[in-house]
Amino acid sequence: MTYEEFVNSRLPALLRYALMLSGDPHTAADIVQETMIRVQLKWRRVSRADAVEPYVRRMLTNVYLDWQRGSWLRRVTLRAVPDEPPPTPDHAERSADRDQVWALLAGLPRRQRAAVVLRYYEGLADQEIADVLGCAVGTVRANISRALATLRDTAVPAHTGGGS
Amino acid sequence: MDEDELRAVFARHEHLTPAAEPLKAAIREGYRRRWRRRLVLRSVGAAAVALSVPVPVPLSTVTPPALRPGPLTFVLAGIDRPPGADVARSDTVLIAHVPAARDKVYLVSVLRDSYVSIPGHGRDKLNAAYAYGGFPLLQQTLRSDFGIAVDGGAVADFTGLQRVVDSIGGVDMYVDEDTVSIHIGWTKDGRQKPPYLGTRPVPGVTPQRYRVGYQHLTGWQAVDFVRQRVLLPHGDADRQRHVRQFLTALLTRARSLLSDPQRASAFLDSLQQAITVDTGGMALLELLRAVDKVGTPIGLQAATSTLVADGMVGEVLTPDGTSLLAAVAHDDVDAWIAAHPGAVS
Repeated sequence: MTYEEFVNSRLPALLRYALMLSGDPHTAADIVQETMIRVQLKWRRVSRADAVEPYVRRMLTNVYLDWQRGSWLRRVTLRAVPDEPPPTPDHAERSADRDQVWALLAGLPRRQRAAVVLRYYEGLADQEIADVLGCAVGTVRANISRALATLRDTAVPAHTGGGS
Repeated sequence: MDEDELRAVFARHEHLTPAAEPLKAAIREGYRRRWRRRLVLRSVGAAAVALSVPVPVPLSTVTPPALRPGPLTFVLAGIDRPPGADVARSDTVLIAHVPAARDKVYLVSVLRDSYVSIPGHGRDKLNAAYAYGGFPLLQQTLRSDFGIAVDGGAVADFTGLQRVVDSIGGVDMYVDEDTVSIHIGWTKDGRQKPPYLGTRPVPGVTPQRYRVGYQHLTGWQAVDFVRQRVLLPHGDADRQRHVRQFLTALLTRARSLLSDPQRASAFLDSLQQAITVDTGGMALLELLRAVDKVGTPIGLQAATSTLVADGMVGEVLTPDGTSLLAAVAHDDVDAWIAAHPGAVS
């Protein structure tokens, strides 16, 4: 597979994954851009991996986990365009509780959020998640249950009805 | 909070995913910038190692260092280390010279049997300089004998050269005389065997042949072709012309790579892994681009006449040969060619 083929077929999926991780379209684009620059620079090594996409997903996850620690971030994220406000359609009220969950996800520690996204959005098994995050399976499960507990505790008092 | 609800939250926000197409251009641009910066860091790093002094790394620089002004002179040496031998001799010595005007590139061959004064070793054949003192002594010899200031160079052995040629998918070149290999031949049942012992044919072995015309040569073929000397009518002079033609073909083949950052990077990597390159602190890519820009190299040979003395056969530079090397030293090759019509080959 050439780099071009990889980009053409997998870029949309990587962008979706980055969006779920970061919760914000601009940050998602920045994370993917940074990841793909690294992928292209090391393409020969990347393309030799047994499975290219998981390898790139791991690189992307690391970029996300390191995102605000690096000093280069400020340079990259300085932009004039403000974040798009979330769309407010007619059924805004009905989906308010779900958007609240989306907002709560953003407040989770990054590793917890990454584990949640990998299990419930990417549909990976716990062992695969452990490989992506470079930790033990037990740590993955602990992260996910802690994340779910936080979401439950915070979401329930605000909305006792439980959605629709 | 159940798990299906979480899945639904993710699915509902998929529509926020940024578009892929506009991002591709941003990735390309970011990659180009990063890649150029990496080249700078690499060449600065190499220079720092060479000088053994710490060099502050200009992180903000995004353009490669400018090529040094003035003429550029590089020595390309092809070395042969016969199996079992612990010294290698430079079988091919070629001076690549770009005048200060940067409008041409000359490839000047010096025959390996040319007698020169090797500092510390008296008069000997040029190919002995490499055996005595490696590339530095070869460089020193060119300076003390002819006043040629060498900016850098490359040393390649047969294996390295073969790898470089294969990494770019072979070369297309015009073979200007039928050439029979004394190194590679084939038996009737298809096994590879040397077809000659010295200059005597081995019965039952058909030598590899390179026929006149445009030929596509793979790595081993190209190397075998440029090695051939003893069966050619003019010996080393013929071979040196073949080497120049081969280098020209290699540059032509590399040309398409240099405009594409990704493939150029892979090519430079393979080049630096396969052969020893000293760019004199300048970025290799910029050097190759500068050479590439001025078009087809102009081939010249430092003329010699054969000398037999004490049972030894050698070559002595003729006045024309000496003046050509002096012209390289003084960046005056144009005028030399004007005064010696017919010398270009």
